[in-house]
Amino acid sequence: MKMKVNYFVTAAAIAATGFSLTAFQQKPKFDLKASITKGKEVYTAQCMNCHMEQGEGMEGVFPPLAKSDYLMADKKRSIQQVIHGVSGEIKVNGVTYNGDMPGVELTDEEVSDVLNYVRNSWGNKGDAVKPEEVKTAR
Amino acid sequence: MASLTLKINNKTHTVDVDPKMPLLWAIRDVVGLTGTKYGCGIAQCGACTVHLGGTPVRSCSIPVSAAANKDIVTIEGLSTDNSHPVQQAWIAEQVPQCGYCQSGQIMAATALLKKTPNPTDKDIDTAMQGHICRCGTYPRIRKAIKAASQLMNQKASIK
Repeated sequence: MKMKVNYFVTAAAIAATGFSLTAFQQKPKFDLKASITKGKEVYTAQCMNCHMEQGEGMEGVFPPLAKSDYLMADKKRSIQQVIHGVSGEIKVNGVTYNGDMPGVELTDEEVSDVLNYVRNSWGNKGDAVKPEEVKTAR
Repeated sequence: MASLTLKINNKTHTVDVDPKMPLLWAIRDVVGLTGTKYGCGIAQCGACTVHLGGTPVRSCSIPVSAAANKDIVTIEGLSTDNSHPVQQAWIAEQVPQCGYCQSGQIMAATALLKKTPNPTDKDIDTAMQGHICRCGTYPRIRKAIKAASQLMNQKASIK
């Protein structure tokens, strides 16, 4: 009987330790604002030459990111496109584009940052893209 | 083929070309301004940079039709006598080695200074990141941009 009680106490203690450990290990909440700020730098260096400062692109040549139905329709697709590039016909805000965008060599974090920037600028509003999502998409 | 009007360096040119022709082809082969260089052809190296409506763009990746009737400035349009502060700084700091990428570098630097008259190292690195120099003249490019910034500020204060 005594043994049994001890067993329970130990089990409860282990469980409690386990809970408190997971509580401590829980990652801090993703800071979307900070990611957007960092993303602007990535954008300026890697994307702005074609997609332009305000994400307006160039009509018929480079598709816009600002208020872009195509961009905001599919987060997973955007991750793939930043990593691997895009080629062939796409329709953005009713205009057909047929160009080539090369993939960009960026870290998981940089991909998430730049996507958070474009998905939350110039009239766009989207949920956060986390580095883990980029990692699984590779 | 189509007849298009190109306003390059404040001069109007009428060209009869395929509207899909890259702007760079039109500038070099049709208009005959060969200061702008062909590098990679996919907007990755920056050698072909010109200003379109004041913004630096990669002329290899823009169809000539998209540039029609807009103000285009090429390296030849900065000055007729190398007197532009960026050109002056480039000469003083002896930036170019082989020189192939330098038209693009100078056009990017000019656009940067117009927007950010006193750029930090970080501003310079961010703005110039898309401009590849195989000779590795990056430290001199950075130095020259700072020198050009000073020259421009002096000029502005004299005025």
